Amino acid sequence: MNRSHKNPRLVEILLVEDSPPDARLVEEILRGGPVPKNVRIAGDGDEALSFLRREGEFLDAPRPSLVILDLNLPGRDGRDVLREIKNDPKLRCIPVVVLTTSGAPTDVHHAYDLQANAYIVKPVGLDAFTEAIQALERFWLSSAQLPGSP
Amino acid sequence: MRWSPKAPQGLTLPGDLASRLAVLAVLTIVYVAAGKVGLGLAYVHASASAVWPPTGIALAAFLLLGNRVWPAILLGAFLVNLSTAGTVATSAAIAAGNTLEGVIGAYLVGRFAGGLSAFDRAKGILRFVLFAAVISTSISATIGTTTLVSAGLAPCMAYGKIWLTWWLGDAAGALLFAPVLVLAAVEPLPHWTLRRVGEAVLLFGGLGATGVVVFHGVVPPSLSFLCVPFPFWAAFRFGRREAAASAILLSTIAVWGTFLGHGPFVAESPNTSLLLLQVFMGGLSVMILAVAAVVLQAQRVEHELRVARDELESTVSTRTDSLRQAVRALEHEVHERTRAEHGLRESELRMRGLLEAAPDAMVVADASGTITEISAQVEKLFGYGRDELIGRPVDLLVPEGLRARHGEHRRRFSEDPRTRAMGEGLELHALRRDKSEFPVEISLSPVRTDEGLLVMAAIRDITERKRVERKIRSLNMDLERRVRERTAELERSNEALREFAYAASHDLQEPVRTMGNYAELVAGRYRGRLDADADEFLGFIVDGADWMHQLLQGLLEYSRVEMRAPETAPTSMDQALEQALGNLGAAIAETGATVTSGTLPAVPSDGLQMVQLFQNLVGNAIKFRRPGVPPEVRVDVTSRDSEWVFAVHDNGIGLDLRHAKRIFAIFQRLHRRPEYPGAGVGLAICRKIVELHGGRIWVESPPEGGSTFLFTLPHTAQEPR
Repeated sequence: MNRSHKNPRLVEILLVEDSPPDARLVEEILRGGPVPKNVRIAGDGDEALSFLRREGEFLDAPRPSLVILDLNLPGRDGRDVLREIKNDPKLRCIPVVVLTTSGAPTDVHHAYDLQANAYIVKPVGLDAFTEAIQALERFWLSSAQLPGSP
Repeated sequence: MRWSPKAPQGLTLPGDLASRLAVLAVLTIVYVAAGKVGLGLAYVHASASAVWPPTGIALAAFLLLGNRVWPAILLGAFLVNLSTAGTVATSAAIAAGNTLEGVIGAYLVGRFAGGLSAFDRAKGILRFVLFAAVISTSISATIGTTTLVSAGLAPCMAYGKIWLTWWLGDAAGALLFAPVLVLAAVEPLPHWTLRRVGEAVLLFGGLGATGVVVFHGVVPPSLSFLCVPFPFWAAFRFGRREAAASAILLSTIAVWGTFLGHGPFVAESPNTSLLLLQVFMGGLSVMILAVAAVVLQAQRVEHELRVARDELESTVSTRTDSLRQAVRALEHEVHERTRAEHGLRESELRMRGLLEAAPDAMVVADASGTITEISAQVEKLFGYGRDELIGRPVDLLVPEGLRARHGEHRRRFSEDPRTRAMGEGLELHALRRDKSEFPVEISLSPVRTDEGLLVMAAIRDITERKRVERKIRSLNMDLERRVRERTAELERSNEALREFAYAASHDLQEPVRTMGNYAELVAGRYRGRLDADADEFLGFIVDGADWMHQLLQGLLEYSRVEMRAPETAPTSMDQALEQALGNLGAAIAETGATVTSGTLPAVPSDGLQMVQLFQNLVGNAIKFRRPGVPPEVRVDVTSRDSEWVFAVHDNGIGLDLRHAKRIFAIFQRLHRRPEYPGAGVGLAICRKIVELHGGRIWVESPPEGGSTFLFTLPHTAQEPR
């Protein structure tokens, strides 16, 4: 699932999403966006952390500038991944946007407590969903200044 | 014959003069008559009779009546002599001699022979003979003979013969007549029965006949002893009086027969005959009197013996009586005592009865702790016999280790004796005869008796109760344990269910959204390139996904209410309503709804849930509004019993009360989705919230239309379920 684009000007985005249809949808919407980017997808928490830490097959993986994290993941779930990232001095400066189906206040509160940088409930309906992802791109990839890759 | 034991009493002259003179006159007449009889027997001289009864009469008179009778005697003697021979002078002299003879004889007899008692014994009789017949008679004989001779009425040479005849005549008179007269007066009249009268007739008849036979010459003089038995008969069978009378009768017959020239005393000269006769008469009289006296003595002794015996018998009888009385008294006392004992026994029996009637084992002990009474239950319970416990210390029934404490219980009870349980709150045990112990419950009651304070203890064997209690306790513990286990199980299961509902609704959303999203993607990307059916079908998929999403959302919301333990704090229901209305702001503005309320109280509850509750109810009221009619919602509250009753009225479409129950169940809807969208969880959540707070929720259909949702909340917080 690695789509390595060696263009250094591309913004590296890690999408942690266990659902391929959702990952595909997000990827399609983002690819259709104006900012050139390289979207890498991790299907579970372990893979996400290995990627971020450049472990195993991800030795030469690029450091992403933004992590889009689903909370409900098989195995090590999104909350653990978020905690690991925010507890890792090398990784914690990477903005993490939680994108999940759960609108439960406790989940929202908990995510921010773990230093999540944004919390987006996946909207129902394709249009709303597309709009939400486009808004995400607009803000994080255009308006916001991301930490540069080391 | 009955003899008076008293000494013989003399007679007394009447007190008044007339009577006295009459008595004296009678005495004179009797004296004169007796003198005339006596003179008829005079042989030697007209004045010197063979037997001179007046001497006996005079002597008897003086002995019985005293010297005061002298005038009668003197006059009688004077008259007799005067009418016989001689002058007044000689008659007076002789009369004086006769009187003097009586006075002196009576004096001597009274002085030396025992007076009226002279005839009681032989000694007295002999003295009577000496003084009355020998000495005193010599006075009369001397005076009389001297007078006759001096007056020339008798020759001097006949002095001795006359004196002797006179003397013997007087003596015979004294001996024959004085005793019979005295005894007749002194002795009580005998009780004459027909038998005794017959015997007397036989006695005196036989005596008379025998006397006549003997003294009138019918038989030879040698057979004269034939008349001897009769006086003895009289003496033995009758008495002195009758004996003396028999002597008189026999003497009279002898004198008469001799006078006629018959019988043993007929001699050559009349004087010799007279002397023999006089000696016979004197001797007979003395002998008979002596025999009679001896008989009397014997009778007296016998009488005294009889009296003594009678006295003894009487004493014995008296003693017997008193003994009998004592026995009766004893018997009475014994009876009384028996009755008392019976009464006591009865009361004891009553007490026993009461004791036996009690279902518990009853032990009565005195202040010293000694058992005085037990009921049969005690024997059964403790295994002791009744005799082994009565009189023994009550500690016998107490386990050794508890005896000190038991003493303390007894001491405390005697200090404040009143009915109560022994050792309240303590486990008491009792000791059987076989040394086994068992738990007991003891109730103590004081019994006040004459013998002091008794303690009645009702002892109940609570072995069975204890066993049951233990059983119940263990069953309870088992039950509690099982309840706990079951509760924990249920909690686990509930937890699992909640987690399942949450997780399921959460995770189910992903594929649903994916389906919806891609159906939309296909529908959008390939619109017009497929046929009309495909477009419509894709629309169904998108709708289905959307609906599924709403259901899951509702389920999620519902399970979130349940998963969250409500926080109970005083919550202003005004504020909760206000916040709910704020959340509904868009809908209210869009529909032009008006929501009014009175002042709502503060209720201990979870504030967020109260907001949700109002929000759902008011939201429903707005949602189910009548087309074209702006919704009007009114929130009221009343206090009833220990709870608040909240009511949310609306002017909406109302509902069919047949479905009133169903609408509070999850996913239950009464209307078609396109008109009134919603997953059907709003009221289910309301019910869940209300029930979590210990209240109830229901719906009513007011007659003016619309509907009223009512729910209660307790005044005070409930234990969260």
